[in-house]
Amino acid sequence: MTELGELEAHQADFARRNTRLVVVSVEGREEAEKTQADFPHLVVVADTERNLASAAGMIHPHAGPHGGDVAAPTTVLIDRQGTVRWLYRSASVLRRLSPGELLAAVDEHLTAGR
Amino acid sequence: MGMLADSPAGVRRPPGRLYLAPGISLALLGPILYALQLRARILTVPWYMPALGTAAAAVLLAALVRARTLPRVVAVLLVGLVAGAEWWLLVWGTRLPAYAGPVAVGSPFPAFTASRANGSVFSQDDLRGDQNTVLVLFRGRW
Repeated sequence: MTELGELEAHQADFARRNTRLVVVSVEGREEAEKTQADFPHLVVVADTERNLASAAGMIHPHAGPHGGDVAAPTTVLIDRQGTVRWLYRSASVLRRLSPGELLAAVDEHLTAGR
Repeated sequence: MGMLADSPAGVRRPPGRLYLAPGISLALLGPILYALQLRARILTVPWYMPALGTAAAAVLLAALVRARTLPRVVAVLLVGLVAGAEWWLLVWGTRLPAYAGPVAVGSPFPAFTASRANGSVFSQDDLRGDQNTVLVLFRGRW
């Protein structure tokens, strides 16, 4: 898992910014446990019922391997009061934010002047 | 066109052979570069891949124009199909819909209930606390 691996590798940079990394997928609990074991510094959330993805309008209909609904890769920055400060969705599933880009966004939207 | 050229040894080889190696190399270069890109953990759209595939098809087509042989026809068709598939994949097949809400900057995250990997509940209330949160919805093993 390149994306999660990169986040795990840079988790100290996020911790220095008083920022935790919460990663969410619609996979089942067993898969989530494996993911958590692989990436212990990330908070892994199993959105098996798609409650989070649906509430946030982040379902990608029929995009799963068997035509099922899956989450559309999206990154959201949320401050300590629970307020959304920034959102990113690429035009392509192949494009993900690099740790550097994400840290720059954190610096700009979450930690600047706060 | 299509005439065989004589080499110094008297063996007649079809013209345009010099286009074959570059054409095949270009066709292979795209996927090789993408594999290296992934290995370097760079997750960007590899537009160079279909571009190189298209260039490869053009070079092999030039070889075909100089000598119409069955292997060259197969090569052009194959490389052209692969390049077409690559363009389709990048332009259409991997496209994500633009985000239209309801999450909005300046507003609270919508209410939800999910589970952490250890089975405990995770809800919008857990987004408030001592730390900021980077929330990443991911898909698959990318």
